[in-house]
Amino acid sequence: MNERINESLSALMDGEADELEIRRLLNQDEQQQVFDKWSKYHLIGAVLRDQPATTLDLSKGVRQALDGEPMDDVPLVPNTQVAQPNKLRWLMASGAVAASVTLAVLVGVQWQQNDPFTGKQSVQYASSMQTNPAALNVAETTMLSVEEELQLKEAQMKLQEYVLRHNDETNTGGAPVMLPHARTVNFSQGVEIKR
Amino acid sequence: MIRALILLLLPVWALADISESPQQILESVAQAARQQNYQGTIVMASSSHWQTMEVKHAMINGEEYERLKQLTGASQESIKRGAEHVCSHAEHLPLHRPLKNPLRIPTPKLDQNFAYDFTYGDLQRMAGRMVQPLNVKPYDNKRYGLTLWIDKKSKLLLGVDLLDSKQNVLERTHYVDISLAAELTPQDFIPNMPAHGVQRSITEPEKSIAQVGWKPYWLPVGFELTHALEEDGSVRLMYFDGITAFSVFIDRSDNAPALEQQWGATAAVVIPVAHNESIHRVTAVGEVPLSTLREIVASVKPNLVANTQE
Repeated sequence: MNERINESLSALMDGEADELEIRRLLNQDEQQQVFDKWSKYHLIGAVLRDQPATTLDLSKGVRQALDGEPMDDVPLVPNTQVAQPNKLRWLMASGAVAASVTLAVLVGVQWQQNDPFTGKQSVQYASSMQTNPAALNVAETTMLSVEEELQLKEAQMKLQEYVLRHNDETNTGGAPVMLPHARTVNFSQGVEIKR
Repeated sequence: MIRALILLLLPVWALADISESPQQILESVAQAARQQNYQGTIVMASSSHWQTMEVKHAMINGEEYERLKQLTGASQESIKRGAEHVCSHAEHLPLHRPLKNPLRIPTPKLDQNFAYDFTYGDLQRMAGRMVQPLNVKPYDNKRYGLTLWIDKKSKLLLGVDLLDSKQNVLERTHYVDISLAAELTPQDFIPNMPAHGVQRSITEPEKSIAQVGWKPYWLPVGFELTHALEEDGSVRLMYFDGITAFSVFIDRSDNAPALEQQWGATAAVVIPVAHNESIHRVTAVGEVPLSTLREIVASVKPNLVANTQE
């Protein structure tokens, strides 16, 4: 990209682009490069403003979550408070692979889905539902011990308990939520485990 | 000529209620769902899921009757007859709650509505009726937007669209048909399957306390603490912005894995946090995007004020 395009992008970032500059960007042949540059500028801006980079494209992540797809790489928590792996030994079962792939991975979690046409419940394992080969490899190589599976189950139960408690408390009138959230009660989807 | 005149006047009619505040409009919507007779079918759809629910509602001898029947997935039904509330399902459903009509909104509390902009759209048709769209658009991208489709005549809520920051519809819940002339009798509210009574899990809101041991040090603008509780080292906090809410739970757990999950508009994020040589599980649950919950849990730390007062 030439310098003029870079300047136009920069002006657009600062909200100072005029119509001519916007037309120049839209007419640029190398749209992917423009988009990449735009993303990088936003990332730099987010870092300078001490904002997490996760704010860059919310809709994509939400769409992926709603589609049941693995989420893109997002640093789990940019905070030194996060527990060190030695306290969570089993989470490191395939740590080396996971670190390089850094995707949200579904591991061996029983996944129940209602078939909207037949009304029957089908039970599958998350690893067989992955469409991303990298994630599939990680899921397949992960072996949890009996103790670890129990821990995972306990964690899922606790999470469901908290979701129900949140649901109950919004219903008692403390926080009259306007959003429809009838589907939270049956927990018919699997749980993603972040590594 | 007459048709042209009608078309010309239509937007004026659509804007006729703008003098009412969003609070007043939503109060009317909540009241209409409680007081009117109606029956219909609701579809809840996202890009990957859809569900349908049959709804019957009536006021009979001054008492509210409601029957909700899930038509897809596991067979489930919830029936209210005055103070009596029963739930029935064909198979064992662990950790379930009675069905709720997703198009019944609670009485709103919009004191903090500065996080959202309210605008009215042009009249449209939904389920064969004229509806007034009310757009609820957040000023930031930390929460979802909504479009509420309000029946022009009855004020019943006929549809809700859940929108992302780019105004893409993430989830759509609406009546596909509705009858407001329903002649319903108590016989219409008798369960077809064996039913069990429903007890409210929380009868009285617990008393909130001023300071608890942990808190998030970052919140999206407009969210305020509605209550805070601490018992046996476990902390519960709830925040509300007038439209949506999220809860934060902190408890001790040496084996807490990091989890993420989303059920429609509701999402949950769990992370383990090390403090004083022990592991705490920090959980955020609410009707906000996962990315917002991630930022919230990442900011949760021991409450300096509370810990100083100890």
